Amino acid sequence: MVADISMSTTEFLIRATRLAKEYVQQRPLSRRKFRVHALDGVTLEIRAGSTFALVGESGSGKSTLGLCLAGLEKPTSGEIWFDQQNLLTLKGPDRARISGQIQLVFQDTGAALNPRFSAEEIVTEPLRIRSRLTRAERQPWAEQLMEQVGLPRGWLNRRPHQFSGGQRQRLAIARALCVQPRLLILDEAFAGLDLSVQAQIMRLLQELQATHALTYLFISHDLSLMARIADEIAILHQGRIVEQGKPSDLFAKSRHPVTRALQEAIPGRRCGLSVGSA
Amino acid sequence: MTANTNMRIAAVVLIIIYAAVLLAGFVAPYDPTEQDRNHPFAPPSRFHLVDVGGKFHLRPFTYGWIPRPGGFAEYEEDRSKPLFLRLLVRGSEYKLLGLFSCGRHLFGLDDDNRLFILGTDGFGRDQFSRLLWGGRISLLAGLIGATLSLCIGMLAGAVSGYAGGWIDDALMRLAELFLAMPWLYLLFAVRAFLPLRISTSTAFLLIVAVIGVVGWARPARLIRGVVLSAKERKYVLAARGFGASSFYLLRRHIVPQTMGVFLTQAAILIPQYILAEVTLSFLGLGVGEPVPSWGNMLGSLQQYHILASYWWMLAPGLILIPVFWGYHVVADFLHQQSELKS
Amino acid sequence: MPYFLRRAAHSIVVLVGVSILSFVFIELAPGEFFSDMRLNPQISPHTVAALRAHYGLDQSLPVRYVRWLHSAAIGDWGYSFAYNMPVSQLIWVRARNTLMLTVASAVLAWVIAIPLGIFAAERRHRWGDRLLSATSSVLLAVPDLLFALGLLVFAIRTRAFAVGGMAGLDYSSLGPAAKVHDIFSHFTLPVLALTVATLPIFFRHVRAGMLEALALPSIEAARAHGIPRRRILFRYALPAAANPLISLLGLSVATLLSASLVVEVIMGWPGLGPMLLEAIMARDLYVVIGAVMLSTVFLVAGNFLADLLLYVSDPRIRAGAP
Repeated sequence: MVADISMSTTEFLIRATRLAKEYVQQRPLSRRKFRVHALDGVTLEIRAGSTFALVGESGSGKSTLGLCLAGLEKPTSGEIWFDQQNLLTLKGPDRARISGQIQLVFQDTGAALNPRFSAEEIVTEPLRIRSRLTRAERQPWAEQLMEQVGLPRGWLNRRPHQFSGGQRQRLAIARALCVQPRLLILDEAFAGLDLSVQAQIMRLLQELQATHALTYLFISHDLSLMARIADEIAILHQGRIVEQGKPSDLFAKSRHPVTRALQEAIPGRRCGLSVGSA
Repeated sequence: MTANTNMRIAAVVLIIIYAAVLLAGFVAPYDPTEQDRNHPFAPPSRFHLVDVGGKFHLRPFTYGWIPRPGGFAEYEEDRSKPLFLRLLVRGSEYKLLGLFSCGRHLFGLDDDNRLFILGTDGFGRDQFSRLLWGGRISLLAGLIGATLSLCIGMLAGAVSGYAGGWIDDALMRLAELFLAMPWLYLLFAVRAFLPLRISTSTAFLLIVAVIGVVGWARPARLIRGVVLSAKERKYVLAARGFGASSFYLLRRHIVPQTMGVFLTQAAILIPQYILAEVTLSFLGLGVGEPVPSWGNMLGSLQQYHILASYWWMLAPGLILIPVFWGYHVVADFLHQQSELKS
Repeated sequence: MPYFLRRAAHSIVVLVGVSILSFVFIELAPGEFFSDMRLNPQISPHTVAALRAHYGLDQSLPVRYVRWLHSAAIGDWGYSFAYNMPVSQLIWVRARNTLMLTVASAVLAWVIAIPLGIFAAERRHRWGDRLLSATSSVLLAVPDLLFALGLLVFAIRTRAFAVGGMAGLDYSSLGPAAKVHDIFSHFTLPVLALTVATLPIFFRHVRAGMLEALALPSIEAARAHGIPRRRILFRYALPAAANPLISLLGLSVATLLSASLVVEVIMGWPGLGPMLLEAIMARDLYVVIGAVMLSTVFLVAGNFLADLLLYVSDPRIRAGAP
């Protein structure tokens, strides 16, 4: 999934510097508290129009990073620059405007969509929150969004449980697109989907990237999958980026044990089958 | 008996009782305060289809009670004059649903003859009529009290669960205190220092208010639980990412999730509160004469001889059984429904 | 051990909180012991004022509360206006009677409910379970008020049991065996009323707890291993169900206390209930507070006991606590 980088600006769309996030936890019935460093000084930059992948095992802090970038969690320290503005210092209407430009698509759509809402309510929820459009005015938006993600218009009345996993993922993407974001963060977008559905979603995301000039940040544990679609990959381990680079570079020259471990987890690697170039 | 059949029967039973009580003026043959000093503690009228001459009548009839001279509350049937049951009789005036004046009653006897379906009390007042009118007080007390508890509980639970932090701590500690007291004792304690003799309407409102306020803690805790888990759902987080205000999140996402608990608690609390009113009035701390309530109607039974001799006076207590059974079935059903959904 | 110290301290904080709450509630409500007296034209306001000052009723709430605390500390627990003696003297006897009643009923109710609940859970939806569940549904719908009244009717009609008070008028002149019989005769019906009133609730909980336990994968595994049914029931399922059941012990104290109030009043058993009622009628402030506090103490103690049992029986809780 190569975006035509030469056409887009070489400026960075979003940059995080020395991002850190700590949690303080307390075991029940005990007075002792201990700190968890979910993120420990993460610095990364994503170019506009590109596809960036953040890979790590569970507990590496990748979801936390996604949440911080999307503005859903407040980092303990560090900065996030979006479009030459420091996100963390913005307030009020500026903040709201910028936050609309970064959207997060959660993993586990079973939990990410309100089971009592209809598809129409789900995809137009951002409009309902942010604008004063009436239900009738929102409907054409809903239809358009459904079309963009390849779902039939007639399904607007259906509830999430009536959709398959892949279709729910499309709904979540549609909802994220509703506010016309520039950066889309997808947390484990392909988890729990079988291979053919994964391919479909990938195709959809590819199309959308072209038509909407989107920048993607994928968060995943699946290195092989990311290698096929990302322009650049960062490996996250225990809250720190341990290695970063183009997929082909990583595979050829990687020395870091974590990367190796992630690589080993890929079936077919040992046989020397190369995992496709980016 | 499947759960669904049970549920349907319960619903029908409750609807019949509530409807009869709502239309008390119409269904009851007499005014509840109308006394008949000639017939204290008259037993329920007996209905016959065959008269003394052996003739069968399609329309059931009864005989009046003649007090035995020299005795107290001892009666004989007056077989000389059969009194036929009539429908839609003209009788004393009342206000239907509190709005329109009306004079028709569902059934009754001709002229001034009196029909005692459930006998009379010491003042000769028809117990059946009093049962229906008294039901208004008791059932209404249950409903209003439960509504009050649920509203306070909902507010406290939602605020506590959503806000977290010290507000949550403070509210839950307060709830714990309320839950630490056996609630009937607490109810009595609060009732203790309201003036003992107050006008009936104030009494009713005060009692309902006390019952309602005392019982906020359990619903609050349960709702807080739901709010806590709903708050963490990904779709709430997503909505927040779109810039949703707390108010929006609560209104659109979180509060609808609490409806299950809300309804189940309602079905549990209403019968408890009906019983609370009945108990208070029974002991003389609730609604007093002359307004009938199921509780104060049972109050006279504290005298042993009345309890032993006049079984029909237990009617206001016995009517509670189908009411409570109905609510229990509804509560179980609602509980099962909410278990299925989660 | 620190776990229990903390739980104990917590319980004490709760009790103090309850006492403050009771004071506040009663303060909020209009009316007091001398309200009626004030309305009586024959008693001069001067006298009323003097009486109020004598009993300390003219002082502010915080002052009264502190004085009450002090009175509690020295064992008096306030002063009864109606009886002219410290509250504690009145209360202990009544409390003992209520305890007698509630403990006996609790034991009886649990002893019956546990085997029946296990039986019903095991034969789920078969005729045994249906019968028991239907009966318990009906019994549950009957208010304790009615049970008490019903048993009274029975007592009056059959004259088999004595009613009213704890012992007959001629108690002191009876021999020891006759004394026991006398008390027993007075004791039986209240216990029966309370037991029948609370039995269905316990039965339901035991049944529900056992059903949950029987649905556990570990039980299915045991069945697959061919372990006999009896053994599974008692050695595997019952211990699994023990946790919620023990927690329920705490709950049952609350249920019993509330129900005992009504039963005591109706059947004339001289416990906390009738004393509370009398104090309310007479507006004897400190007796009311004393009764409420004592019933709360019982409840909190019941919960604490349940926690203790839980700690002893469940190794997971022991491991979780420092």
